[in-house]
Amino acid sequence: MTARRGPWMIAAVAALAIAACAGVLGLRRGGERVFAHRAHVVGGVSCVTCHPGVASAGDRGPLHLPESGTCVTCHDKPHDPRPCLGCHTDPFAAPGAADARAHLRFDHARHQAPTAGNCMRCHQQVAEGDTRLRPPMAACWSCHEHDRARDVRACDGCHVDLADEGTPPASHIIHDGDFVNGHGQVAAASADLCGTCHTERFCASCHGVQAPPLAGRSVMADPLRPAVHRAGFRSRHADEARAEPGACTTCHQPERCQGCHTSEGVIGAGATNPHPPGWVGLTPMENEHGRAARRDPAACASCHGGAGESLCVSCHQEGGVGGTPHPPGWSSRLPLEAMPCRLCHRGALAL
Amino acid sequence: MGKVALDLIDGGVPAPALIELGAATRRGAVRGEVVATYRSPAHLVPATSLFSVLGDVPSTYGGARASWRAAPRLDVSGDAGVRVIDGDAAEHLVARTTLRLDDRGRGALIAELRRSGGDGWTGARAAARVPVAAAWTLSTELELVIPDDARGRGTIWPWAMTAMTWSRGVWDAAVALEASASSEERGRLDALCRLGRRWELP
Repeated sequence: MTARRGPWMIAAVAALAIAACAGVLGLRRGGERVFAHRAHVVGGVSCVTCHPGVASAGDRGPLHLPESGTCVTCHDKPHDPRPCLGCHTDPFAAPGAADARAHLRFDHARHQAPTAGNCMRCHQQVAEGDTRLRPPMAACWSCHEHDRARDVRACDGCHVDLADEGTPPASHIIHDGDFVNGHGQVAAASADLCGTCHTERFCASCHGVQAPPLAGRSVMADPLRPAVHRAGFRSRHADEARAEPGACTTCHQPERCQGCHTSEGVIGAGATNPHPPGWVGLTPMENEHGRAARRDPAACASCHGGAGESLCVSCHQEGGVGGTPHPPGWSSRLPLEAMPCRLCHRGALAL
Repeated sequence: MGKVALDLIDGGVPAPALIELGAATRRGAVRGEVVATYRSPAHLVPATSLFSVLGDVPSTYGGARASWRAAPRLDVSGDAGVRVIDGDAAEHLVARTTLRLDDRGRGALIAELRRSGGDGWTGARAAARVPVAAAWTLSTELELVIPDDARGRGTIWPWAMTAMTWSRGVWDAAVALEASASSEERGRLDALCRLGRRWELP
């Protein structure tokens, strides 16, 4: 009996928790009833009944949002004398419409004939809810072929000023995946694409004008803001550098490692050995340094470069105990007497 | 509805080469994405350096991400993937939830779990941003990281920061206290401050 009751108890507790948290989760918005587009459409109310004049609206002019007077033509006994839209509206609906009017070249009147006056051809998501009233760009592209315009970044046929608009893309150029870490390469390869929406000021908000990129520590006051080096990165930086070779050099010059390690006393006079136990040994299990060097040779070179390479040569020279440092399948067009080959291939010097 | 994207980026020297393949789809409140990345590091060592003979070990990553708007103010997302370097595979896992405290998201809470495999680390992070007045915002952040192989660097690396921000018009200022115990130091306390002014073109 107790075992049967268990799932019901969990469900009841979960239901109570959701009900208690409904306001926090946004399921219940302060007791107000947001205007239900779907219910009105299903009830047979035409869009233009509440949005009079929108069918003939041009690129400029009023937004054609309904007035309370429009509502009371059907809802003839309002429960409150205040304007209906003061409460019965999604908080983003009117600002979103104003934003679209300010930043898009769009003419409702010219779309009447192609859509046969059916607003739902574009405003499809009205049927799903009232949080996304503005049609996604994919709705435009279902009729308009703008591939060429997209390819040449000619967006101003519809978008007045993308950088000022600040609307995140909903259907294309979404910054997917690990974009914060990879955006440097994308920007370097196609800066003009970034420039269709972002001004240099946007870049400078993180990167500074001439300074190197700022870490998460510099946007300390906003823990929700995406940052490359978030939270306690300092502790993890060696592990993260090993985890993805090449990621660091997307933004940093190798000298950055050397400069910081010198100032922090990791290298240089009086420095202690930063390598963990098992770094160098006689068996493969004790030779972590070889794997680390293959993955991030720049990190090794930041301390052991130049004259410091003699440390490597002492073991890895031809016939030495360290064996060959070359990866499988290694080949080079350099003659053995050239640098750096001759450092280890001592026989080449006699040629 | 979905999309597939292939990016081929050869940054030349000194930028590394990158190939990214992604496919994404959205169904209602759920968005799914699969990503594959190949990154050739193009190490920045001189051609005459001994370190140039070690080869150029690329990393390959394949994974998936899903995000779900569980409630109007609650987002849940997760990443799962595997990164292969030099024949070694390491898992990469992230679970994250964000609860906005108001419709516009001025205030929010974040909880995040992260696992970076291959002699890596496991971490938990929680953060909060709470508007306390019109121009003032209090934020706090806590992270605990447990390295797989401590190697004498400490078994847990805690990090915490509390900041207060003032923002008005083009000016903003922030003060913060940052405390941590890391692989380098048993304990460290920093006080940070920032004053910013934004200039905009008319």
